[in-house]
Amino acid sequence: MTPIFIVNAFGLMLLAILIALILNGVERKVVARMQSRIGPPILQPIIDIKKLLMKENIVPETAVKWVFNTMPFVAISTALVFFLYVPFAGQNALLKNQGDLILVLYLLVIPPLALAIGGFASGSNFASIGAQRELVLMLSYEFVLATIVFSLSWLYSVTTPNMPVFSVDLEARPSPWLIVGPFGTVGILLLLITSLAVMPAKAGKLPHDMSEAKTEIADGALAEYSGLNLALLYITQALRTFGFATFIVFLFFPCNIEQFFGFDPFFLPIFNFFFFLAKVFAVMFCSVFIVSAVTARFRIDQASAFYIFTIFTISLFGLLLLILDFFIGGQLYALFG
Amino acid sequence: MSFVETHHGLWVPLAFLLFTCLAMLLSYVFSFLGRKDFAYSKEKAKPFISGHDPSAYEIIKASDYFWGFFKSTENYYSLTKGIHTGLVNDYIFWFIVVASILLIVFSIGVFIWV
Repeated sequence: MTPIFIVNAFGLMLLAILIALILNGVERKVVARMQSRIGPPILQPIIDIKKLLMKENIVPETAVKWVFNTMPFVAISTALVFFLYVPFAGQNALLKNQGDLILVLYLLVIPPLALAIGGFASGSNFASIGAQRELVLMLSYEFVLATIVFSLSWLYSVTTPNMPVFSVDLEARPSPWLIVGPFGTVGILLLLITSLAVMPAKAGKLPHDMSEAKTEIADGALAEYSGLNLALLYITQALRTFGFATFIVFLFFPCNIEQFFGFDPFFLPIFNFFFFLAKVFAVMFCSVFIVSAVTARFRIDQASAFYIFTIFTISLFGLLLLILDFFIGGQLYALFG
Repeated sequence: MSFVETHHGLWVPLAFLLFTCLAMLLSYVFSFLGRKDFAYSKEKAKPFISGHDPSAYEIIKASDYFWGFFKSTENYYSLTKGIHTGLVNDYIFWFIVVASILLIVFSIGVFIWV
């Protein structure tokens, strides 16, 4: 590991923060326009962070202080490390040979878990309710997420035998749409729909923002956070949204622009970068922007039932179609010419 | 560098720790950007209860932490609670039923595979 490698890692993490905050600003603007409001400027999240850093970092007297103060750092650092393990900004993952998809799944779990622990540690009832809701939501959607990842990994294991199935190497991973028949295509489409359905919960957006629920439990787990700690958690929330959109792009659209158009190799990284942003924007638009503009908040038991029953069943159907496509798809397609 | 590698995946814990520490260092830089010259006040450190009477609030019990989850799976739990009768005969009956279903599923799987 050379110093250049470490500088690259720092650069990638800073870039992730910048893109995540700008996308957060874009989201607020687009949702506002959808609701016939003017909305804040696109750079508003950066202004908010700057303002929060000027505010006092208050620790409640009921809090377990070291846990309360540590959790924002744990949340943001794991949210940042995530971007070193998944292909990001049109480039391959920096740590592609140091980890795999299982690790990435764990990295997606740690920030909300840290937020929940911080909420419990604050000793506030509002924060405890928010943290409790965050945990219940995690318990409900993580199984769906595991089904999606394992379904696609199983698909690679049977169709691409030489590829390490949990690899995060962009070059080793063919597009899943290209290695299946019609049944499999519908299966992958169902898995994509379920992952888009998980997105609002992962990002803490409507209709699954019940763990914050500003008007009901005063920001939930964030209720007692202020100043620096709140700024860190604010950045973490933006990173979580951007990170999960990046993850969906990596799982379902792991292609770069050179596979479609020929470009001068010198400009290729720039075009790949914008192509990646376009894919992330498309994912966020479908799963967060439109959904949060037109829906109201679910109750926690409704959200939990939505993931445990509806979305999990759809993901199982997706897996079933992938299995059918592999085992009897060929015979069926031959039967119908 | 030591690493954990299975047939399908790998993980290098030391690299993970190193880069997590680097990310923590980066986030620690933010703490130098803020102000620290605030006067301590005991009033500010009281938990926010939205102006309500503090005595009206009770500590939330640990058993209530997963309320939403249990509420959404209420029907499943009431069904499974009913099945847990405490009678050995019932448990053996369920054991035979589940084993039969598994046998049928595995037989179909083996038939398709062969």
